[in-house]
Amino acid sequence: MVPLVVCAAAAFLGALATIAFYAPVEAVQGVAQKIFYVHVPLAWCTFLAVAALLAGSIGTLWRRRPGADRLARSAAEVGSVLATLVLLTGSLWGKAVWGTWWTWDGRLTSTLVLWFILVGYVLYRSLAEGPPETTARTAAVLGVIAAADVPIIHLSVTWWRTLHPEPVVMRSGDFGGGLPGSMLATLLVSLGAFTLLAAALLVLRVRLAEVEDRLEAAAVERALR
Amino acid sequence: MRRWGAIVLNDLRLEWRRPGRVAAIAVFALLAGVVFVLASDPEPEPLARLGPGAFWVAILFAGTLGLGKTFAEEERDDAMTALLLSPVDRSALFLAKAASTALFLLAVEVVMAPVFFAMFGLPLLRVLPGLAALAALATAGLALLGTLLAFLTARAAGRELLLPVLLLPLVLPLLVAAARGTRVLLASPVPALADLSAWLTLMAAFDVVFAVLGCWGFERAVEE
Repeated sequence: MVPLVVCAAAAFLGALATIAFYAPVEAVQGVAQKIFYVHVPLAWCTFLAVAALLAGSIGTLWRRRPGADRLARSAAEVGSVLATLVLLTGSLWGKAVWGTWWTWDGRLTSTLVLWFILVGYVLYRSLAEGPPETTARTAAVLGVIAAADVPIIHLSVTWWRTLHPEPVVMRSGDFGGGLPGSMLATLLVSLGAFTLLAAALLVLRVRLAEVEDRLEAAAVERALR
Repeated sequence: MRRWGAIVLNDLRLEWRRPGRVAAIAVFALLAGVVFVLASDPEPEPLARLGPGAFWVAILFAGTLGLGKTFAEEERDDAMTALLLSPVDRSALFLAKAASTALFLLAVEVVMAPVFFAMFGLPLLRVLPGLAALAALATAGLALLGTLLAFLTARAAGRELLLPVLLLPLVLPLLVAAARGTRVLLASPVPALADLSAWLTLMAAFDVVFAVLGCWGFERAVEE
């Protein structure tokens, strides 16, 4: 665990240095464009967290391993933190480039809904009562239906914007295509660093969950004695 | 199938004996409409723009209030245990609960729709066939996902709050499709049928996904 955390910290510092000193300043958007190197990797890591939540939930229902449940609830917490950062960095970028903190663009809206879903799952975990195995199972069902709903929500929100054309005040910047080499390299470095960081956070949170479960079990044992 | 029907009939009989519940929820939905009108401009144009969305938001909020009862009733006298012990397939039990919830919500919609449309100055009769199709698919989806979430939250602290917090983001596709579909119906003398069928298809897909996942999830969640 320690090597992973050290690697993640080193990679993160390296990525920050790359973003600050290596990546060129974009001609039109200026320095604000550099938020892109943080925002996109955060969004990527959020989707990884949702995938881990789904995997943990399926593992809980299929194999009934407590470890799978610890993965699911840790992934949801890490994912909600990452999704919050995605929204915040996106908002900062939007203010600098579009001139507004928020716009109801399809991708923004579905990210916001995803945030509500992840936070809802975390709330469910903290408010559910009953034996831990039952909670793990019901939460796993919730995790699976939430993950299954994400693509449907994305589709409906995209149609919501496109099937009913309304004056588009701001168009999202055309990323992806035509990215200069140095920008692409910075993005890749940053993607790697953030993936490591998210993995380190997830591993730490799973360790914490193990301790929580042991404490819980010890408390039950003491109460029975 | 007969047992499935028995559960639905039993739930409907309970509602029939206490018609106050349908009435109270319909009154709540209408109040939500009044609140929307008062918070907006009482001019025909803004009301006509707001109406379709407000109609479905009111149903969604009203449905969320009604859903909490689905399993809370059964927890009393431990009727849920009896239901689980009865020789009914778990999926059939889930579908029966969803069906009675859907019928309950449809009754609320039938009661409130004429008044609601009049409040917003929208022509109900002209859009009735299309609206009925939208209502059938939206209500089925809301009942399916809502029933599953009502069961999952039945044992959580503060379930009255947790159910809407979990349900609202997950049913957004239905809200978007129903509101946009209604707007398409009202848009012109000749509604854009391609757009309408796209929204209907989206809701049908949602319903199929959550009918399957609902049965599957319910079976796994009730295991003791």
